Amino acid sequence: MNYFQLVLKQMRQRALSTWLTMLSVTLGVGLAVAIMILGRESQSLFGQNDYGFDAIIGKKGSKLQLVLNTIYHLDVSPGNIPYDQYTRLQKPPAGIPVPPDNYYKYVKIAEPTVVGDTLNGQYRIVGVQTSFFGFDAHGNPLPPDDVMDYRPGKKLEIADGHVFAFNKFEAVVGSDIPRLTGKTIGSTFQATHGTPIPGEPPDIHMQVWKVVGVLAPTHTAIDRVVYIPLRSFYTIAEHGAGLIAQAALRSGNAPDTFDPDSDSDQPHPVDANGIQHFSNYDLDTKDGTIKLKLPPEIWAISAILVQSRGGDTEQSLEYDLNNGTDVMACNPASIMREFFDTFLKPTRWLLLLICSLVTVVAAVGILVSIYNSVSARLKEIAIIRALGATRTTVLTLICIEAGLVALFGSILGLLAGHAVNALGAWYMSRNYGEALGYDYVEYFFEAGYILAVLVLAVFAGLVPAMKAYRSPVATNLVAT
Amino acid sequence: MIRSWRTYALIATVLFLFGYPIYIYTDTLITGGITQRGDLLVVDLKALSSFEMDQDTGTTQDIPLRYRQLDGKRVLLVGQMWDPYVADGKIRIFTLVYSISNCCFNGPPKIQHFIQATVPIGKAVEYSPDFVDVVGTLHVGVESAEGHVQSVYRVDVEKVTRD
Repeated sequence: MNYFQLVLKQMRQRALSTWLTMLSVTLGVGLAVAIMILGRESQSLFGQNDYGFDAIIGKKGSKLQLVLNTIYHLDVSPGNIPYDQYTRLQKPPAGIPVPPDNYYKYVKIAEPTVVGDTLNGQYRIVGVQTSFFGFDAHGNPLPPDDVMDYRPGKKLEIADGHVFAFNKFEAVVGSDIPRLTGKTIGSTFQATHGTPIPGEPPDIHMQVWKVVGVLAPTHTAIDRVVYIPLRSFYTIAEHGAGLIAQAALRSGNAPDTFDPDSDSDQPHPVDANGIQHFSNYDLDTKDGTIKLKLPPEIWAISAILVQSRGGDTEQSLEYDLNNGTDVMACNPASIMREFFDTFLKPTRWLLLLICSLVTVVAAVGILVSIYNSVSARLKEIAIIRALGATRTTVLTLICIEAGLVALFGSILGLLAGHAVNALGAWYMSRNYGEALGYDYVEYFFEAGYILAVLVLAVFAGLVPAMKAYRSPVATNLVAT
Repeated sequence: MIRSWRTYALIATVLFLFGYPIYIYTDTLITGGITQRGDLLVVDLKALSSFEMDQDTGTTQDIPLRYRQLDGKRVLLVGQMWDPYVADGKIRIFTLVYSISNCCFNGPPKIQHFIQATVPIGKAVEYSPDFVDVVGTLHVGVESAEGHVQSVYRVDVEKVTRD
C-alpha cells in the first residue's frame, strides 16, 4: 500500500470530517475565485483606459455620467444638445467669416453621436455619421488624418460587409453583436425604445434596419454596439416629436401636442413616384433612401466626440464651453483617471485582502480538522510506527492528507466560483446587457491562487504532522 | 544673553519668511529661472511660461530672448504630467505643466504653459500624478494652425523620474 492509498483510506475512515473540511475549503476557494472573477471582469468592463479623442461635449451635468454613457455605453444619457453645437465645431464654408462662437481653431475632428434606443432592450443603438467609420457620405474612404481614433493610433475597421449609407435604414454592428444576438450581414431588426426594465413590455419602433457591416473587434464597449445612420434615428416618430417639442421650448413656445404613435397607427400609402410618406420622413421605396422632413436646426444629439488640435486647444475648448450656458466639455482621460483612482484601485486592494483572509481561514480549517484527527488517532499512528513506519513517513502522510483535502476542495471551489459568476453573468446579461466573462480560467491568478492554497494547506498540515512526528510510540500504544 | 539669543532667532525667522521669497523672486528675475547643474540647464517652468502672448497671433519673437536661446539645449524641467488621452498606464506623449492646480486648468489656458513632451517610440513612461523631473532636449518656437497658436515649447524626453 503506497502513501496515497494509505491517505485515501484514512480519509474514507473519517469521511464526515474529511467532507466537512473539504466543504470549508470549497466554500473559501469558491468565494475567493468568485471575487477574483468579479474583480477581473469589473476591470475589463472599464478595460478601455485610453481614448482616441480628448474631449466629449454634452449636456451640462455630471461629467462622469457623460463619459460613462458615451464611451462605455453605461448609465443613461445626461440629455440632448442641439445639433448646431456640432456645426459650431466645423470650419465655415469659404467666404463666410468665422463667427465668434465657432471653435474650429481648437478642433481637428468631431463626431456627433445620438443614443436612446436599444436592440432587444439590451444592446445600445447609436446614431453616427459615416465619417465615424472613416468614410464620406458617399461611402468613399477619408484620409486617415481626418478619421477619429477610438484609441490612440487605432481606427474602426469594417471586418465584414460595408459601411451604411447615410440616408438608408442600414446598420453596422460591433464584433460581438452577431454572436450575442444572431444579427449578422443581411439580418434585419427593429429598435426598442430605451432600455425596458424586466417585465416591462418593450416599445418597439416600426422602422426596420438591415445589417450591412460588422466591425472588427476593438475589445472595447464598441463591440456590443449597433450603429445606425444619424438621420435614420430622427425618422422615428417619437424622436421627431421630441425634437419638435424641444425646439419649441428652446424658442420659448409651448410644445405642440403630438401623438408619437401616429406613424404606427396610420397607413402609409405609396404615391405614384414610389415615395412612401411618414410623419418625419419620406421613404423612396425603389432604393430605400430616406428624405428627412425635420430640418437640422431642430436635430438634437447626445454627445460630440472631439479630437483637438493639441497644445492647449482641448483646455481652451473646455474653458470656453464650460463658461457658457449651453453645453459642457470634459476630458475623458481626466474623468476616468479620477474614477479609477477613487473607486477601482481601492476596490482591487480590498478584494485582494478579502481573498487573502479567505485563504487563511481555509488553511486554518484544514489545520484544525487534521489536528483533531491526529489527536484522536495517536494510537493508530503509534501502531503504524510500530509496524516500521518512520517519523518522516508519518509526517509525510499527514502533509499529503492536508494537500489532498486542499486539492479536492480547491477544484470544487474553482467550479463553485465560476458557477456563482455564471449566475451573475446571466443576471447581468438579462438586466443590463453586460455579461461577466465567467467561462474561462485566468491561469496567472486563479491557478496561481489554488497553488498558493495547496502550499498553505501543506504548511498548515505541518502543525498536526509535527504533533504526530513527536508523539511517543510506547505511551500511545498502551493508552486506552 | 537669553534675550539676545531670542532676538537673533526672531530676526532669523523674519529674514527667512520675507527674505527667502525675495531671494527666489530676485534670483528668478536675474537668472530667468535658468541655472546650470552639471551638463544640464535646470529651467523653472513657471518662469519659462510667465510672459504674455496673443494666443491667436503670437509669434516666436514674443517669447523672451533668454527662453528662445534655450532652443536645442538639454534641460531639466520639474512639473506635473497631464495626458489628455490616457487615463491609466504607460504614456508616450504628454503635456508638462508647472502645476496642474495652479497653472492653467481653471482659468483661461495659455499655450506657453503647456510643454509638449514626446517620449521616443518604444520608450513609453509610466504616468505619475506626482511632480516629475523630465530631462530632454527643449525646442522653442511658435507653431500655429487655423488661426491659433498650437505650441510654444516642445521637449524630446530622455528620462522621466519622480521628483
